[in-house]
Amino acid sequence: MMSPKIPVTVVLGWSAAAKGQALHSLAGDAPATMAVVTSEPVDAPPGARVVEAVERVAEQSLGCPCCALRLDVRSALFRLVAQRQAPQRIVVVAGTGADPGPLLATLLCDLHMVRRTRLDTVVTVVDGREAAVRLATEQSFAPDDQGAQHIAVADGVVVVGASQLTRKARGDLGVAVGRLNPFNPWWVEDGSPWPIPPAGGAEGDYALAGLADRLDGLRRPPAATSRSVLLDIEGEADPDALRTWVRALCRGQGRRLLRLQAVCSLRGRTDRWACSAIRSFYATSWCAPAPHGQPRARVLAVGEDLDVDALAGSLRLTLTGA
Amino acid sequence: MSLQSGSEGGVASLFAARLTVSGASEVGETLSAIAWSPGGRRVAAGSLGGELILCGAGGRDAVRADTRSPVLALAWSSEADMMAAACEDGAVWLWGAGDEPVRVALGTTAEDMAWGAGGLAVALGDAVVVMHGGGEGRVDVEVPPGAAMVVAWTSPGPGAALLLGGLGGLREVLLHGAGGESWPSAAVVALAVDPSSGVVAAGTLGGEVLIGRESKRMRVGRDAVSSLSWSRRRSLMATVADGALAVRTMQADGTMDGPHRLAGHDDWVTDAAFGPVGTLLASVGADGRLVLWDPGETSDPLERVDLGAPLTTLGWSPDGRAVAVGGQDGVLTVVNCSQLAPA
Repeated sequence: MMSPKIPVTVVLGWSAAAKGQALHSLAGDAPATMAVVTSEPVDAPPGARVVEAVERVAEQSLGCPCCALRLDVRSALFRLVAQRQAPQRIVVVAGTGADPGPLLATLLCDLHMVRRTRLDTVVTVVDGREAAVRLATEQSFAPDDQGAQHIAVADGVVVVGASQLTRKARGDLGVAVGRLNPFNPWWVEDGSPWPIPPAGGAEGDYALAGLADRLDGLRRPPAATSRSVLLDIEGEADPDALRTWVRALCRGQGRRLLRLQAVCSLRGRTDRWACSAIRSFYATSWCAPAPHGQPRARVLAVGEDLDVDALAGSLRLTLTGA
Repeated sequence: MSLQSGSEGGVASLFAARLTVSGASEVGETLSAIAWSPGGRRVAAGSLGGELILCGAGGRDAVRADTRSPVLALAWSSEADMMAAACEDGAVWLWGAGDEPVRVALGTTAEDMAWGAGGLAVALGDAVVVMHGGGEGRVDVEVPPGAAMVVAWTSPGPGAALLLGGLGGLREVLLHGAGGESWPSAAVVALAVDPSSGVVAAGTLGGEVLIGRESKRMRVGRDAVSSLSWSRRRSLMATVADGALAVRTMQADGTMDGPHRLAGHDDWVTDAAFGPVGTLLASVGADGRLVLWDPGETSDPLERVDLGAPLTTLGWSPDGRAVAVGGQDGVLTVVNCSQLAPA
């Protein structure tokens, strides 16, 4: 018994050209059964239906821009699902600077979407040359870098243009990608040797031409549980304990954690600690004091098969010690 | 049970022993919502393509309007003088008898709505708006963004509170008083109030149903709960999750008995609802079938009728003698089941 929900593949990344190649590979020999939703010009396979989406975002839950719904993508998906001959597969191409959070929240948490579509895979295409330049100048991907988020959230990462890099640049890039996404496999487009084996997957003679076959092994099961939980607990945390909690959470549940947004009161401070995490990758910042001065922690987590009870229990323990 | 099939002019005309197709109207794009007028004289349907139709009770003589935005929910006022459609672009269309529909822009998106004695409540994601008198008067209640995705009144009568489901769980909104309880949980995507006991059931994105004010949790599937319905009497609750239909019974102490899986579809079940009389239950699926059940008596199907294209939504007539179903082919079909309805 097949789910009538249309599978949606999300293609993220920095290179529009490489994303176009990925689309051609995903379409295989049946482009007419595929539809592409995109907010930037992309070389879609001939015969595929293309729907343009102009970014339109609605705030969600904690009021931060990254906890939002992509209404443009939702509208585009509605238009496709409404058709009598609905596509058998939809590929959503995110813009180079797009935050993947709202896009994934739309596909995983919007009640109208989850009834009609299912998130199949998230693949990120990384332009190795551009990434190497960033790494050479900044030593690491900045925590708020959208490219870093694209790598962190992917079910599979493809590095293109790696053959033109020096051995050192390839090594640095390998370490950076592995750190951002230790859970899922990544490949080199041209099959050239990689100095440091990937931490989470297998290096191989991969080329974008075989992307569809590669992604077969990464697909989420049709009935994978997608969950969101909003924890709202009174209390203020010890800063070190909170950092330890986030680190442990990202390590323990990172494979299943697609998005976490936290705003917490800290002992001895009036401003609040904010944290944004994708899988094992997290970034922190400070935000304004609580509106009514009441110390509390609000955490929104979106993921698959999340252990919600463990999440709530450990946060409560961190905040109250009980 | 005998089952014959055929087709006339693109409209399915298939007959089971105790079910007959009264009529059909074609919309053209996947139907997303169906609602009968309280008197049962008209039936409305909306599509994901933005088309809205009003038909006679037999499913014919449709009048149409184009909302230019996916229709996500439909509701009728209890006086049956007005039908409302909530659209994805944040507008609500109000359609009175004999009038042109009027568009009222309310927010960024209109997700769900419910008409009760307190007015028409529209869930806008970050607010709920209660409209009175065709939109002339309104009350706006702000909630955290994403918290108002589904809405229901606690009872049809005056003085009822509003229930909102969405990110963060379930919350109660008291329109004429401060506060209201809230029940944090995974995102709530479906709501139903038991008409006999007033107990609320909330279906979550993670395949759980929360029952009552104690918020007892019950797993019904792995994926989002796509449909939730209570029977008019005996407190039977039907759920659709992971494409499967199941029924549970609430006991006197509030615990739930079951589940009893109902197997009558050859493919994914997409929607199910109890009728307004007795314990008759209807379900539709991707196999194109409408199946009628009486789970209070037996877990075997009473009748099945094959309507061809995958079906997406259904709505009972107020007297429980007909079911309107809609599908991916955009055809609204009214099936007469008066032979099955309790006297």
